[in-house]
Amino acid sequence: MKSLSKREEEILLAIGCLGKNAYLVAIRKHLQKITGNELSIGAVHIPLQRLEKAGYLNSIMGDASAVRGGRRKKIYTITYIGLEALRANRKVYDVLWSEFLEETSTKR
Amino acid sequence: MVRILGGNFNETVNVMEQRKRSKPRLGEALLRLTLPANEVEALLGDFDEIYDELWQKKGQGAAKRWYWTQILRLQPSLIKNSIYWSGEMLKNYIKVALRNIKKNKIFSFVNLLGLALGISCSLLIFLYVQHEVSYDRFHDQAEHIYRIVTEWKVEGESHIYQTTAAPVAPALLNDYPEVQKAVRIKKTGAVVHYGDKSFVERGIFMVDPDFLEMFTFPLKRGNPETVLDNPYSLVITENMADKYFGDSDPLGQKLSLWNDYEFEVTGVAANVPKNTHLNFDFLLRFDFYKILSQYNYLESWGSWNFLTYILIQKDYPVSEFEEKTTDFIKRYRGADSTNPQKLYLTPLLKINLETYGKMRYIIFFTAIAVVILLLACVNFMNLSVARSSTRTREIGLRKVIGAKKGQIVKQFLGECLILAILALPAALLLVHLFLPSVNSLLKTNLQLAYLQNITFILGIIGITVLAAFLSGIYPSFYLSSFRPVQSLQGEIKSKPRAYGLRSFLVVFQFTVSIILIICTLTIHHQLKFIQEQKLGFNKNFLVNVPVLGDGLQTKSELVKAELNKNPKILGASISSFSPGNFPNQSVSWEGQKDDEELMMAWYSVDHDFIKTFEIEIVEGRNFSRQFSSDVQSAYILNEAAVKTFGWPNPIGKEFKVEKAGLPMGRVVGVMKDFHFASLYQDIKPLALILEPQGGYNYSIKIDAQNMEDTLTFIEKTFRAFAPHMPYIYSFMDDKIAEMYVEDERLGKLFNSFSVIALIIACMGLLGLASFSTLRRTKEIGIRKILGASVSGIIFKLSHEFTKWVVVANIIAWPVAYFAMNRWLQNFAFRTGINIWVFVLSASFVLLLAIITVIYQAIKAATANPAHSLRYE
Repeated sequence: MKSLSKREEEILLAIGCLGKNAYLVAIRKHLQKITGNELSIGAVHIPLQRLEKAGYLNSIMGDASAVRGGRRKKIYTITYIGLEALRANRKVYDVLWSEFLEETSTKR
Repeated sequence: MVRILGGNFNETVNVMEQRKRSKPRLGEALLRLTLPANEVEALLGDFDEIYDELWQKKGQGAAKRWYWTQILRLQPSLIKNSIYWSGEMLKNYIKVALRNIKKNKIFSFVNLLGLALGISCSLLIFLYVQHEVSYDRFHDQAEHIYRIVTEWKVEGESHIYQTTAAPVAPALLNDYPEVQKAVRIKKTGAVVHYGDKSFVERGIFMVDPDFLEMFTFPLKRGNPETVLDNPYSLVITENMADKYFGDSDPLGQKLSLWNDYEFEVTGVAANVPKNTHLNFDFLLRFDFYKILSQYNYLESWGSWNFLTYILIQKDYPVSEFEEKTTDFIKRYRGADSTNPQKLYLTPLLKINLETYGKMRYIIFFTAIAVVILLLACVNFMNLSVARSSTRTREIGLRKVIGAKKGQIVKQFLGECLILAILALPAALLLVHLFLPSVNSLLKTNLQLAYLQNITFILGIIGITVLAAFLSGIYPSFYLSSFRPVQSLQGEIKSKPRAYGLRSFLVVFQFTVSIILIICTLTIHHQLKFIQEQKLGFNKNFLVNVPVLGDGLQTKSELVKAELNKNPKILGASISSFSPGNFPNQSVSWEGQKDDEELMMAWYSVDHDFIKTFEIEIVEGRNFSRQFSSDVQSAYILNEAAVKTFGWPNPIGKEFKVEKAGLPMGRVVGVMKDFHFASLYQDIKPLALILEPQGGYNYSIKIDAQNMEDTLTFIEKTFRAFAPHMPYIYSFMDDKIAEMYVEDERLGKLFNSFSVIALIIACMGLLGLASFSTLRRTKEIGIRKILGASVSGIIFKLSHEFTKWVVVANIIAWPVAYFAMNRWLQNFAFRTGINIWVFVLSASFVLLLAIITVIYQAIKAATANPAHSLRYE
């Protein structure tokens, strides 16, 4: 299992937050809101493609909506191995953070 | 279901609203091309959604900008893959194409040569068309400059003349504020002297000083605003400055024109570009014409002989202006004046194309270019389709491993493009080789300047791609339609449809060739007919010397007496006769009704004219020295004139040419009709007036023997009388031939086009023949074993091709007949269309086709059948 890049991790998490409405525009908006940075479509779409190819994501075509010129949304859901990958990442962070905090607090 | 439908309805309304926000359609198309196919829909939807949101928040500009930056930023990663893979495929395609070109030498040679010929013809014609269309475009105000032309109604027929009276320009300038500038031009020629140099110059323009401001002819020296202020100031071009003054400073130098008038050079203009109809060498002031002609034409509303150009206010409706001109004429010429009817404006940019009739040439040449390119493409089509069987396996295999039909079409189109690109260097070489002869034939100065001529480079690319597309489109669809299973089993037989098309295409090629040959022969036939036509006077051994010095006109009796001393000179005359050129003047005659008006051709001649030209007098007498009253009042008319006036007894009738200062005269004789104009026209009424001082051409009849000596004698005589005059002579029959240069040119062009068409058609036939004999090697072997004779096999192999040529003849004959009939209508005097021309071209083409095919046929027929049947 490959480890996730920061952007991939953010996207997976965003998808988790958005639930049934996790399609590209929503994901992008969500991330922009939290990070405060402008994201290009490519910056979201390419990691999505990669994640889907790696099997971390499933996708289904949603209903057509008038806002989108009658075009359907591609809605993503996290797969089991996607969740596993996220957890693995989380574990690494947890360990790193706890060690980091321990070190800095003792030195002070 | 109902609910969904209802929902859809609401959504449709919403969608309609969305539509109003115009999306960047091009961007969407780009996205469609580059996005992964399975995700296009969703992604486009994402794009739209964000786009609309941005539009609402930040407006259209921001939304559009975002859309495009997204596209640009999205492309690299998305395209990378597709480029990589199509690059791999492209490599493969190129490899296969080059292998195919190498593998079949005849096929490639035929195609390359054909394409090179076709492309080079098209490029040459492209250059020509570009040149003609560029005429006068370089003037800064070209689009607002118009030439004034006049409409005259004579005997109910309407004529358009390019000239106006001299006072028209100032009057227009004065009466209409929308006319910003008006310039008159009188084109003329003169003998120009500088020191002991003297030349005959033709490009002398007398112009109003605004000329240099209206048209864009930059001056190298001198101030355009003041350069023509003085009546004796003169502007010359750089070429002329070199010719007369060499390295010394031209400004302030004195040149004398028409012997008596001295001009000071006040300005030097840059050389005039080739693509203008205002091709001057010298500019003088227009007012000078008054001094030169010793008559105040400048205020005469009767002499309509000057070109007038106006610069009209931007966007002023021209038709509205033309409407006003009827009043304008009545105002100045009087209310009862009938002619001219109206003034019209011809845009400067249309003068070359429409007035000088270049449009016809452009259309004709473009048609020829298309036909020749098509002929070359037909070769490619035919050979590719015929050879398709050799590539069925490849196509089958490609399809099996997943090639789509579109990809195969693209592959074959690409192959054509490669072939066309390979043919391009040869085509450019041909263009270089033939450009000088094209220039001399069309009297143009076309240049191959790749770098300065971006349009030409675009033309090269365009024509190459067009050639590839035309030749590739049918074969690629034909080849890509094979079904993989059959083609892998090698079961494809050429479909009857393909065979039918192939014969149709060969027939088409030969039809074109035959039409061109018949036209060529007919044109030559007619030109020969014209040369041999009896003109009504003897044009042979008649030497023409133009009078360029004044002394030669007044001393004509002395000059003629001196000339006649030589026994080899059989007669000499001075007159204003020059073949094809005749002044038209209105005339008065006995019995003329009030409403009758007639313009008639006339020449000033001397007593010896009739004798020297060997014209027959049918009634009355010749001009005679015994009647001194003959001068300027006796007329000899031709039979056509007498017929027009309806006189039973013409001799002694009153008649006069309405020329300044001439009294009413009388008809003393009637001559037989002779062709003073070209054979395009019937013989029109003509009057000769006895007026030796009005002549400007000596015509000298010489003996056929020792012509060189006689010519030297003539030159010496003229030099003795007028030492400063440039001596020029020409033969009358050459001058007459000059009237038909255009048709001569047409003949030569048809000649070259038919040669090219024939070469291409024969190359195609050669390719087809070699291929079809190759395919039938086995069949021929079996035939021979079963006892077929060599001649029988040769006949079998070649009769198919000859059949096509015969069919081509049947189609070509009526077309050629119709076309040539139309062309011959131009001539009032013409030969019939000769059946032998048809038979001759038919047999020639047939012979050529047989020769092309027969070599292959003989080779196949004489081969040892054991060899051809050995392998299986």
